[in-house]
Amino acid sequence: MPIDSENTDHLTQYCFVIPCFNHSYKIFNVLQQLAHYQLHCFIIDDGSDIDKAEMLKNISQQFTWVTLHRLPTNQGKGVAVMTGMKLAYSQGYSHAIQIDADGQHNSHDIAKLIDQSLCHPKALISGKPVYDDSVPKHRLIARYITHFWVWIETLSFTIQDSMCGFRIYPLEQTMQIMNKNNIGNRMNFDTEIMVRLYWDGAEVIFIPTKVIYPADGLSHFRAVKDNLLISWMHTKLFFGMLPRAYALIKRDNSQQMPQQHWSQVNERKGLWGIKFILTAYRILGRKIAQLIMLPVILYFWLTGTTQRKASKAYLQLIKQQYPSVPLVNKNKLTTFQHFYRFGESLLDKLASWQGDITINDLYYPHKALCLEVIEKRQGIILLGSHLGDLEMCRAIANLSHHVTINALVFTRHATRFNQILATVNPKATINLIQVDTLNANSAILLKEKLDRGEWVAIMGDRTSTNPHQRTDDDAIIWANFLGQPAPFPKGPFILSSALGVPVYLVWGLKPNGRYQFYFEHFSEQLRLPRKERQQILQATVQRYATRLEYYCLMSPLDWFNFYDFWHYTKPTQLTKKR
Amino acid sequence: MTQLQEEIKQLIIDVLNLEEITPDDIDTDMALFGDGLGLDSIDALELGLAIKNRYGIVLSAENEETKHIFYSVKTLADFVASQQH
Repeated sequence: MPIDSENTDHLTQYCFVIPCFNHSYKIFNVLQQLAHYQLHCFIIDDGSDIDKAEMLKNISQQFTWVTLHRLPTNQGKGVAVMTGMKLAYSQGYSHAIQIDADGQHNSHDIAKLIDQSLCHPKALISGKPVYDDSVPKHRLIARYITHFWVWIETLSFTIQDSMCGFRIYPLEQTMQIMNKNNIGNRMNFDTEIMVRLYWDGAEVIFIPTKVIYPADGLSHFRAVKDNLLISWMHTKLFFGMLPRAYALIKRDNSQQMPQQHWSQVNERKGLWGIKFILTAYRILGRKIAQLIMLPVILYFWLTGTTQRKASKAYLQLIKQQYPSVPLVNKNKLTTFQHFYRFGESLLDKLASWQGDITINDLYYPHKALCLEVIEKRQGIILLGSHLGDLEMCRAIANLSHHVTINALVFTRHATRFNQILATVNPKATINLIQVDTLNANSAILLKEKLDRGEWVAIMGDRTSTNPHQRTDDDAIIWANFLGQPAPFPKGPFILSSALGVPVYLVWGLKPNGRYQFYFEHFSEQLRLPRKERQQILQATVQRYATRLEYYCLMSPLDWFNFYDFWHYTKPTQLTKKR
Repeated sequence: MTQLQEEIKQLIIDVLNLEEITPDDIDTDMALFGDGLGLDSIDALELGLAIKNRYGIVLSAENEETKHIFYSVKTLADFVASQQH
């Protein structure tokens, strides 16, 4: 394949570095494929067995452009590559192209890597493996775990693959890093050098490339020893990340700014994290998922300044009411625990749709009332909130009581998360109704469902995200909540009134590690007669806010409104401000 | 047609409990919401449900169109008539 770039003069400063341990049978083919690049090649024999070493020597002599350097004993891939790079650098080369000796890398893609390197001479260029179905599952899981750690270590999703040994190194910067640090000698080399180059400010560019796993593949990966080495490397890099955290976050943000609008970036980042943890939960179980969730939450806690402030302000208000907080250890009421509880609730949603949390795991004091309502087969409205987990209630109601609960959702964001849930149980999305505003159309749709005896869940605590709201007066009502006036949406209450069915309040909480499900009657039929409409609406919203406060104090960390709840910002202003 | 318009005027009065208003007070072309008759969003929901129940018609999900249909007694009657034939 020809190289497109014009500045091919610099190409003479490029060379190949191939680490080789007992792969003498395969290297001949590899060298044949490299021949037409007309570049110098350093093969580092990493202490191969005597017969293989002899064979390698014979093969090398057939290619005039190959320099063979033998290490007397086997010291690991990392040492071999570093030896090759030192040799290359000492002979004046500016870039080293690393490629495996066993032919697993597609040599046709070398031109693409070189092209990128010529355009970005200071960047590390790396192949990013594209897998077909033949790759074993455990191998993919292992890769995913490494990806995850690297994301933490760089506090960025920039590094898409850290294990592919098909790369072009900018030698000067790489040599400096190698001289300053004790880089992993073996299978841990590829990841560590990449993370350290990233830390040092190098750009990392990825080129998708097909990786071939030969059937007679001879892998030098040692299950116990190499896994230990890799674990140690991640520990080292994790602690290396901590003092760099601020700079890394700043760099990551500045990298993404020009490419995308902030809201898209944030959403994508958030979903990646959630998706990853949910995948881990499904494959590896809850305990491991919780463990790897910890650094992710730490990341969101460190970077989510607005949410952290909101959490702090909320916990301050709770603090003033400590005598009324019966169930929860006061020492646990911290912003980090608050963030952590939110992360955990995502697992709870997944677990409940998967059927891992059942009705028997619940403290369920109003079970009799709930069963009585179910008996009647009458459509009701469940007025929920962002206190606790309505999704869990929905899952359990569906799986244990066979009641269909339709949930009204307002934002696209929530719908995306539910798409992930749908992969666990398709029932999770069947009854989600996405609406932009509460209008006659959505009311008619809901009325039909209620007439069929289905239940409809509406959140009563979030003011509309729709920027086309007419006026403040039109959309909100102020009610006293935790000692201060807070804006509540009128919509859910108006809708309940128009639909004319009984309204119940519902809460799925987890105050002390145990799931608790509360279900209480709110009104038989909400009537808003024309004359006293405003006053009755006011009183009704206040009654809701009071119950919300009661349960808030019961389980403070279940509060998932991570914004200044007591301040009303019109959605249009919000968009402009950011 | 006028009969249907009268029927809808009466329906509006009954459903929304507009006690001091008679069908004659509602002009066929008068805007129902905002400056005209002065109905609000609660009324819109109740009226929408009542129209659906009485005439069994399905409203399209398109918001702008619904707004147009609900503009006045005349537009509403025209729409109901078009759906019934």
